[in-house]
Amino acid sequence: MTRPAPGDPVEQRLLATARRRSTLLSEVSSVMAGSLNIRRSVLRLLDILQPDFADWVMLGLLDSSAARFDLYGGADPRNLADVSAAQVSSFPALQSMMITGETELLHVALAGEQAPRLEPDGLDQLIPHPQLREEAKQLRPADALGLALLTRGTIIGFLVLLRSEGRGFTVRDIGAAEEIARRAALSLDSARIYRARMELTSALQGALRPPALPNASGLRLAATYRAAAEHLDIGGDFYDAFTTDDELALVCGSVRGPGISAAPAAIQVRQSVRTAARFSRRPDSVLGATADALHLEVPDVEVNLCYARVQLSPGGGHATIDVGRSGGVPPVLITAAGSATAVEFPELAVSSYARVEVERADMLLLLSSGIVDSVGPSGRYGLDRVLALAHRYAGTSALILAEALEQDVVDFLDGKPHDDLMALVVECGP
Amino acid sequence: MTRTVTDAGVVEFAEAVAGLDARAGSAVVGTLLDGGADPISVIDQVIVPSQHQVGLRWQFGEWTVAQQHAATEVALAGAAEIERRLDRRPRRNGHVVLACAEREWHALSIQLIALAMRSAGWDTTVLGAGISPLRLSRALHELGPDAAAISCSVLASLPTSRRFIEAASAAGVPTVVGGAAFGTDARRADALGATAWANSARGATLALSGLPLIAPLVPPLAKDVQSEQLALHAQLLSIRSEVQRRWRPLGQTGSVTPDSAGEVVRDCIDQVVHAVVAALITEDVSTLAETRAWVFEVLKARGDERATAHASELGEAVSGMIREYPRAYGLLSANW
Repeated sequence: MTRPAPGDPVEQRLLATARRRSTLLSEVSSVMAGSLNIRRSVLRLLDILQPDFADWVMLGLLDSSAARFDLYGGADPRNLADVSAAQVSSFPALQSMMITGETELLHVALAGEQAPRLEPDGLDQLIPHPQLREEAKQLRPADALGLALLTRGTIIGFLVLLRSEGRGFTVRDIGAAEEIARRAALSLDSARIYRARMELTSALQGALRPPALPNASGLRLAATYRAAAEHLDIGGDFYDAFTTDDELALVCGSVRGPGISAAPAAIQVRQSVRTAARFSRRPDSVLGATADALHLEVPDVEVNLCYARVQLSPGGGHATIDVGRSGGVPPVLITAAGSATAVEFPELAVSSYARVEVERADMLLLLSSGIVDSVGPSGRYGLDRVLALAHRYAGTSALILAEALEQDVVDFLDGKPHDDLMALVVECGP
Repeated sequence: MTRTVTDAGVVEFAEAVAGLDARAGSAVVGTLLDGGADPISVIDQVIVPSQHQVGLRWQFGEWTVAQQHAATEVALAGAAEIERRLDRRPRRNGHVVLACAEREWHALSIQLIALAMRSAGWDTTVLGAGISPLRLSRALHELGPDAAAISCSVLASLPTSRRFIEAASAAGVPTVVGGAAFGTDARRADALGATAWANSARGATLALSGLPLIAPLVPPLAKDVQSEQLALHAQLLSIRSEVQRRWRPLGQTGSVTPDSAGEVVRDCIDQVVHAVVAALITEDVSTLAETRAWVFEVLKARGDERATAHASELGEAVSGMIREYPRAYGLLSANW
């Protein structure tokens, strides 16, 4: 065989094709590595492959239950369809790929063709969704290439590529497609693992804080929470607010420990407080019962807890707040008239609590030690800054105070790492 | 449904904001919606202009920051009234994640844009204000949205908004940006690599419908731009304290307005540094002229009879502190 001379048009075409394949492969790796979301990863893959490498693309991916395949692709890749794994098993070519991991190249018989083709029902063997199958047939493809998405020892899905007549898959194209499928499978599997971790994280988040603050007639509530592991939104600090009959209970707590590892204990503390509050609502009783439960269940965990029982007077406009704490930062009372003072306790023990009387537009601020202990470029934030800010925002509202405190602390930090930042505000409302 | 809102409604809402009366603000919005005004028009023509007035009241020394916050609550009450009437059915156009970057605390704008998008048939997730790029990235990977919307009203937040755009484009997610810091046309947004720019809630919803499925990866900032930007950020405190020693615009008597003179002076100095950084990364030097005009107005409103000279001296004082950063120094020297 004679090798084409340099500059020969044939050689130039071959070189250009080889370069395109190489670029395509590196694009698949680099672009798909940018996203850890399954849907976005698939959309990017389809965007790369269509229309240069294939005229039509479909990707099927086993969902987390392994009982169904999510199908992506077709004319509008934003639309997602799904089929059951049992349905897929009735498509011979797909089923074969999912068992053996082998690539399937099928030639499609076109209506009116005289010459017999190898696989007259190629599309019917490869595309398990009627709408997508019909769409593919409309394209009148010549070749259908099915590839298993095999990675880390498991087949997680399949990729189907169609090309129109006169543009069939060469041996080298098939080799490139198999490499694309390998790289795509690795990225998609990473995205699957990430999704599983995110689901776990979200479940933990939900257990650390109520999904929404309760509506307590005559009172207004606001909270702010910024975890040390900010991108995870999980830490050892937690808050809670719930109504018991005509009263409101507020809880603000922290479990010492680094980031996510403290979260399980924090969840346990939060639940213990809720359980204790079912039997007695007095702060000393709730804190005492919680301490007893924790001593039995998680004796080595250091917990700071603040519990407030808010009783609104009939007709509103006045509330009595009994607040107890076992460490941490004292709550701050902000009056509508403009004073901001830390609540004083007879002694720092679960057996003692303070009583605070609040009038219309007065507020009580419960906060985590992460706020006062924040260290920015100009030093420690401290309780004095909290009091100064609370003084400036006296007479506004719970929501405004919570937002202003979060902003002030984060600006003070100026991008420096911080502990969990949490504040819960109750306002004696209109 | 009509898209218009009545002039009376605009005036009444502005009065509710001026009186810090959330209940009245809510009632005005309710009446407008009952009268057939569409939610996006109410946002663009009633609520947003009132917030612009709030900003001016601080600028002219009439209100404290706390009063600004209280006025925001009136706007929130109006937004809540819109939200209450929104269709609860699932939205089919797609999903948008909205956020304000670090140093941007005007969460109201992003909440209003989200409401407009929802009323136009998009699902939304609002991350809030002062969000780090890490947190945005997590949301993009977790939710896989069709777009990310970034609101930025202060120049200080433009660098992190750029990092938001980088994070989104790395995930292939197109971005719609808007807010006062992006200016009055698409130049700054283009320079920062955003997919689309909008200057209103309606514009943002229209921009969404024209977005590509996949956003290309934005090229990195030039190395010298990046290094000067990061260095200026790190030097902000020392620049501020040195300039504070030399630049005393409000005299010995201090400010005649509710906010302390020290805070005002600090804000002015910081604004100049942020404007230089914004000019660096967007190649738009109009940030400097805008900031100079803003400094002049702030000083004048606080009784500074030499506001023009003091505004000029502030640029010189900051220039003197940034000579070791040739690009930034050149921009400030030539354009202040």
